[in-house]
Amino acid sequence: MDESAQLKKGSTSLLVLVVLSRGKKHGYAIAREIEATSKGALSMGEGALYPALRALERDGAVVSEWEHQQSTPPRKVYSLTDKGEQKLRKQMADWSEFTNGVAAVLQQAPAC
Amino acid sequence: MSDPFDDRLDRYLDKVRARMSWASSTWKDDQIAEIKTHVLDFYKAETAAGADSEEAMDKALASFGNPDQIGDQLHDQWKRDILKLTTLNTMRIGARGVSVLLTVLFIALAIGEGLPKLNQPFWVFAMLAMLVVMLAGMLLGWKYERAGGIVCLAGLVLFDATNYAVSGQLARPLMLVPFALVGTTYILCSVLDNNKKRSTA
Repeated sequence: MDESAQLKKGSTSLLVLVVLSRGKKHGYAIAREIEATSKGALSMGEGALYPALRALERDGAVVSEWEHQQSTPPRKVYSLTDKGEQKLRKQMADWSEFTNGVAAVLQQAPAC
Repeated sequence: MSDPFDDRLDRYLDKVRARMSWASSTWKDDQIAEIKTHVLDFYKAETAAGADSEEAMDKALASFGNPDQIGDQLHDQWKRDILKLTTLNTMRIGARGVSVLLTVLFIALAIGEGLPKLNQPFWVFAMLAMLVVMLAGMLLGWKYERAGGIVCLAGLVLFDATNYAVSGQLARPLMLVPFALVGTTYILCSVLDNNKKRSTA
């Protein structure tokens, strides 16, 4: 796995939580919203989304339910829980601290 | 979608399924159904954007990733789910079992020994009331774990405080440990099993 993919994998749960904080969504819609908001920079291996969703569900950060509609196949939609909101705030703070630290170090690097 | 692409998708999903060997069929069906809907959504979006069927399916499957890897990752998540569920159930069964035993023991003692006479000092009735609070908390915990655990532990603290105030020493740990364990276990279960929806949603 290249370093860019590792960074994306490490941030998958944070990205999912941010998207779900704007309302409930199914997996495909989550992937598209991440891709669209990041203008394609964060398009992920979409299969990685589901293990991340399973882990968030187990932690109680998201809950899921199957939605049955007449015109489309059933879809599993995810929504954020109170615990998920807390986790999101914590992860955003951690991420901000991390990126600020990296940015500070990068500023010291010689221009390429 | 035409059949050849259904076959490709089915083969892809079979590979994912094959990696989740220990998971229950229902769980596997859930994952496969979800992935299938996702890939088909991607496929439809690509064809709507002008891609031909084969190209669209190529992109959909490539975008989803290596099926063996996805199957392994999902299987790993299932194992963690099972571990958590087993741990929670073991804790619950243990706490509930002890709560029933203590309640039966208390009732047996109350029947065998009888309740204190009315001429007993006030603190005897206070401690009896605290014991009843602990038992009530343990039974409440069957339905409302956090509330039951808190009531049980609150009763325990008041029981011991009363005992200390009267005798100058704490109650025998052996007697109180089961109550403390049950109360703590209920609270732990409620924390571990906390997956309630967002209250503002």
